[in-house]
Amino acid sequence: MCLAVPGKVLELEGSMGRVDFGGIQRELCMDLLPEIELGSWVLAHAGFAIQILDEEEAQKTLALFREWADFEAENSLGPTPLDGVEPSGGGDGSPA
Amino acid sequence: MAPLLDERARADALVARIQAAVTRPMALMEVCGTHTMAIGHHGLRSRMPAGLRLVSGPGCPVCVTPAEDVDRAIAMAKEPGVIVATFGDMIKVPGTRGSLAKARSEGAQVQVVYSPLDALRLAQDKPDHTVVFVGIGFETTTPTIAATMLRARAAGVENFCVLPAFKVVPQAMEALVLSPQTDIDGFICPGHVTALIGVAPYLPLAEKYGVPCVVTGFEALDILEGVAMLVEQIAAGEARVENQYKRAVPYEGNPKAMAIVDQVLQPCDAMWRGVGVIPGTGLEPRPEFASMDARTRVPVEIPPPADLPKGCSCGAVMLGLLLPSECPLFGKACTPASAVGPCMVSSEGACAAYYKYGGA
Amino acid sequence: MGARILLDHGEGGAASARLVSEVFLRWLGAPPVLEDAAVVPGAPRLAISTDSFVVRPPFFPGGNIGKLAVCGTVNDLAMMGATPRYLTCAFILEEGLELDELDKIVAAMAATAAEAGVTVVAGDTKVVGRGEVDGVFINTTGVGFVPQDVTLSAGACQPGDRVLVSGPIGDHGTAVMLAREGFGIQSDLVSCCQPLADLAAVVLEVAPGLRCMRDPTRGGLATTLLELCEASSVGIVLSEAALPIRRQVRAATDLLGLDPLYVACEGRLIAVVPDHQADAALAAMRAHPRGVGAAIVGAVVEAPAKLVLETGMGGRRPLVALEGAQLPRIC
Repeated sequence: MCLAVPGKVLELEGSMGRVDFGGIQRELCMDLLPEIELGSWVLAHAGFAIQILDEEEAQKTLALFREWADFEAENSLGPTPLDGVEPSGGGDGSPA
Repeated sequence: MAPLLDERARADALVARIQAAVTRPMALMEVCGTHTMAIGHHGLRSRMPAGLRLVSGPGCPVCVTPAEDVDRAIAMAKEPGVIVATFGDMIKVPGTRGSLAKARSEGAQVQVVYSPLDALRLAQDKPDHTVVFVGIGFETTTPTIAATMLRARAAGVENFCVLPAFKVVPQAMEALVLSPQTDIDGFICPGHVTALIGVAPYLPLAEKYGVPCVVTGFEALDILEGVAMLVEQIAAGEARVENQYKRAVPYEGNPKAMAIVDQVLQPCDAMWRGVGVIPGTGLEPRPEFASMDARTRVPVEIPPPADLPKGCSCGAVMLGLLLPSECPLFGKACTPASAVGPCMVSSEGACAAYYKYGGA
Repeated sequence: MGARILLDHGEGGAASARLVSEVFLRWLGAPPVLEDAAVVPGAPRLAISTDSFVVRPPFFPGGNIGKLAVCGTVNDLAMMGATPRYLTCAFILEEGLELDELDKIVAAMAATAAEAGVTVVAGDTKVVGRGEVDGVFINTTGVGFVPQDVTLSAGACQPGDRVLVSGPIGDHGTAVMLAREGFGIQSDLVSCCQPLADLAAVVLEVAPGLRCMRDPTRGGLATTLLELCEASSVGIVLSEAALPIRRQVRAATDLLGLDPLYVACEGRLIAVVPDHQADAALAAMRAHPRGVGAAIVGAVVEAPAKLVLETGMGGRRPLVALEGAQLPRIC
């Protein structure tokens, strides 16, 4: 029942914070996480930060920090010929 | 390294684990509507072994909101000087006669908001109106609304109030286990609810009733891993509470958030649409916050509620007793275009998901 | 169909389709296939199309309603293989609209028309009382010429064909929604709104076997592909991994619980080409400034007429028609 999305806290002012979600930003209310620090990752739901994300654990679950490479820089998101070849991984086009 | 390729390999490994463990028929209930949608979205059912049933539970707060609450919101929206603010999820849910969307098309003041704070802001911008925020949600959402009520009080905003329709999850899960009709081998527990309430509330389900529980996240890999952990417990005859979603769920949840809820709201009985009254599974404003209870702030008359339309099987579907396709109305009288019951209307409802993803 | 017009009827999804068939086509007659523009006999062959624009807010990142009004109709003509030539434009203005705003809108129309190589040759203006329309509504009707040997149709797709898209999906709808709905989301996302006649011409030249082009607008990529399945009685299999989607669109739709496959584009084209011409078509698109990020995203298969997505997780799920608007969700 709960869409909540991870984002990184860029700024804090009073009990509001500016959070980045991979290229878009939104202000979130921090009333539910009064101990929050700059640079933390949080879960966003309905305009609030509801929980802090454990960065170390998150690294183990690749999905969280999956980087969709900046589109302009890459100039393409890697098309996939559909004739039985495995998906080439939309998003990075780069080896690392 | 191409992230999607690596994820695909990990998914394949988890599917292999699941297939190895499902050596007899097993039924898992995903309590949370967001899990239902995520499973459909990634086409995960098509990768599960035939013996494994993934059953949807009553975990869609929109679906289980009684018709009476919808009727009340509609009646309030039609009152002069009242604006009803709501999450987008609620706007098409049918009450006894029509929905908030229909009421809006007839001139009622209804505003879709992304956050309860937007509703508070609306109240501050329109001091000559009363803003009623439709307070639906499970424990992921309830703290955000309680915190908004505290802010309203601190800022002296008198024209903001909440129509309480909150639901609490763990007791509902217990009711499911106790019901003689349901047959659940394990629970896929809602990751974000648990991020707030913590892991402990599920312990009785495992320890007292012998039903394994795994707190699970919402990415495809999370769900596959949660399912793998559950079927491996079941195969080994174990019943424990495990946490697959450690990156977002500390054992204790978010005690500060739950304290805010406790400050503003108190338990009450709640009616789960199609299921019945489950004691202690609702929340309403405490007496000191009664001035923010929309039921008394905006008294309205509503038609005698009809809980579910005739023939609608949402109740049985939400308990996991029927597959959506087994409801006589499914795909015929009841489709997303002309939804009869809340499970089809709600974007997260089991029937809507089944219709959209074809049981995928 | 209920007794009133609902917002859903204007969203380009299933409710819109029902309204068109149950009211407009019932009275005005139904052609065998619903195309982007009507190609009528005569020499030269004319393509004609009309569209009305009611976008809110009228000024959004990447453009305004004027630019959109030109691009929308020009692109519908271009999708039929026509060279767009002439436009009419009719305005319905709300009493109280600032002249300054109107000026900027019309200036944008002129600039876009010049960029697209079309001339506006006729127009009309009406004004109605305050509150009777929302600011500015614009209708444009366009006329273009189709070469004798070009016949593109939504009904022409065949099993084995490839489906290409000319760039990242969902930019326009997301940019407009963020500008409109006050979700408090900041981003530097701009609408992809642009005229496409030159890109379409390049595709046609490089892939003479081209079956069909469409510009996916309301309802997004999925809705347009469903229309092709229906018109051609074929299935389409889409690859999730191949879909070009900008980070910000993915992040915004994730946050709001929306599906980018159903979010409007404006300035993108879908091309269905025979398999052996797909690589050439892709290369030509990518070499063109309006085709940056083009990709082969799917393949046409035998009936039944269903659209299926192969997910990154190795699963499959059907993509069905949206009933009406997608709404932001918290669940």
